[in-house]
Amino acid sequence: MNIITANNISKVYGNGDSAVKAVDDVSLELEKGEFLCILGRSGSGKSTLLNLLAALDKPTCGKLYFNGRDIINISGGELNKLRRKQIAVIFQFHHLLPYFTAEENVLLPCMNGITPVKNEHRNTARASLDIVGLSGKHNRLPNQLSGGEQQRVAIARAICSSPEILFADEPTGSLDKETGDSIIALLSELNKKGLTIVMITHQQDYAAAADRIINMENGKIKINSY
Amino acid sequence: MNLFTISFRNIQRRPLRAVLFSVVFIAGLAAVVGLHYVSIHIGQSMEEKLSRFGANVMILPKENSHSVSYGGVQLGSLSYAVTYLNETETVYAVRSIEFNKNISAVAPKLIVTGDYNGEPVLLAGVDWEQEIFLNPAWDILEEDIKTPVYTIAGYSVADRFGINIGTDISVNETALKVDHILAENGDDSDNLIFTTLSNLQSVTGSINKVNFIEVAALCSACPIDDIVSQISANTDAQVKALQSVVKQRMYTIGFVEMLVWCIILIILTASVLMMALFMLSSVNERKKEIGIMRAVGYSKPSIFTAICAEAAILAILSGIAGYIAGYFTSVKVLAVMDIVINDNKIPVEDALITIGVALFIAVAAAAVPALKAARLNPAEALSGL
Repeated sequence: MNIITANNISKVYGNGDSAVKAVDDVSLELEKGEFLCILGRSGSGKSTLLNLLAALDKPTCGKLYFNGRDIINISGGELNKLRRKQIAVIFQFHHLLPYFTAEENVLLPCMNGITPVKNEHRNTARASLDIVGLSGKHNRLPNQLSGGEQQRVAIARAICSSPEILFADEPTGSLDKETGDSIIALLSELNKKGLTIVMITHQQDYAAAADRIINMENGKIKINSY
Repeated sequence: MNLFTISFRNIQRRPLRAVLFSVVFIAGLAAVVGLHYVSIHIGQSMEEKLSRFGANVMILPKENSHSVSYGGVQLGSLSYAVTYLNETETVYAVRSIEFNKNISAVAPKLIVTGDYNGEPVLLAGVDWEQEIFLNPAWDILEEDIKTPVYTIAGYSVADRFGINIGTDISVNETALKVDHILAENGDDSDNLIFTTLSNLQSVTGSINKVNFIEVAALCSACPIDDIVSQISANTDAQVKALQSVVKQRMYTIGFVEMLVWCIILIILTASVLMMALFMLSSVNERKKEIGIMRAVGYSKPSIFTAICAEAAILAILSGIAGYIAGYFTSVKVLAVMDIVINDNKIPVEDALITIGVALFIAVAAAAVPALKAARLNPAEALSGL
């Protein structure tokens, strides 16, 4: 079954003569448990497409479904719930809150209200940190962690709510080769456990970890290979 | 840990900025509180001083006469009978009103005619202590009025009839020796002879009777109409406010208060703008953070609340400190100005109002930046890196 179905989605920035089509009439289907890698040059529309698929932005036109459900005309509340529970995103830069410890950063999605974080959430957060290999570093602040460890915290935050799909926008972009390799290995491991992954990368060797690779150029999918 | 933890931690993260902001906000609030208290006490002090230059409420017996005029010419009054007020009862009626703290002087008067060398002269029996309060310009000493009978003559009446110190004025065949001649004041006191009320009542057989009572009331804390209606409720007499006197005094006090309120308004406006700029720069700096919060499912109201809570936390702390600083500054300033504060207790209600106002200012100022933050598109916020 498709977890994501995109039918002829486009994203246009600006209007009139200055309009730029970042994503141009893209159709895509993604099956549950699939590991998809998006390749392409800078400005080819990879990140814009990922933002659209991850429900972080809305396409200018086209249809987009998550588990068969239209997520373009979804209410704000439902969209927030989707982002909190089912869709997770990690970025090239970890985006950890500097004043929170690793565990607190993982708990960030659970602090969305006046109700205090429950103990079960804390246990899940610790378990997530253990999964990404950060046992014993729960109470460290981001500046007390290496770049790779910070990215692992971001992954722990992403998987803490047991999402169905993880979007990764150049997760190894700011890391050295060795650390990057370990992140890709971690993502592959998570994929093997059933997590659907969509990853953007510039590095061909990392793309080898994916089940499918799509190549983008000028906002369009040029190559779609298994 | 909850949403407010983010607000608290963000303040802790930039302590210097929070402290600088708080210091400026505290200074603004302290200035507002200080000015407010100083203006209130200056107003009260001014009114107390102004009330010493004459009464603003007159209590008379019920009308049993009516004035007669024809063609614009005043022909006097048609009196059916001379009536009096009961001195003890009426003075008590004034002193026992709800706003009795606003009554600064109650001066009863009995007017009779006397005789000097066959010429009629007008005598006013007065309560010296109250009269001196209402006429601070009179050149008489406080120890002189303590004598059982003290009689003084106004400048014009003394000049016209050749009355000197030691001269006897006859009232009902009783001689009253003039103890002092007043300097010229340019008012009604120049034409009258004043003597001790109780003695005049005794001499004329009008025990406990007075023709009218002048009252000096402070009006800054309550309208004069309330004082008049409260006195009226306690007595059958006619109670009239001397509106022109009241208005003139209240205008003077009101002008000072209005000036202070203008300054307060400017300070509050500056505080709102400063807070708005502070929050706006905070939101701009934290775009990434807000973007990630939106990406992990934070709703727009949650983002709005987190930003406003940050402003609210600073406002509550600044409100408490600003109130304390303002209150004690006003105490010091008033001490320098030699104005006595009767009540030295810190008014808790005022403190709560100050904190409330600070909170309102902060949330109002933070609302626009918070709305901007809540409306951030996560994709745009995160792509700015």
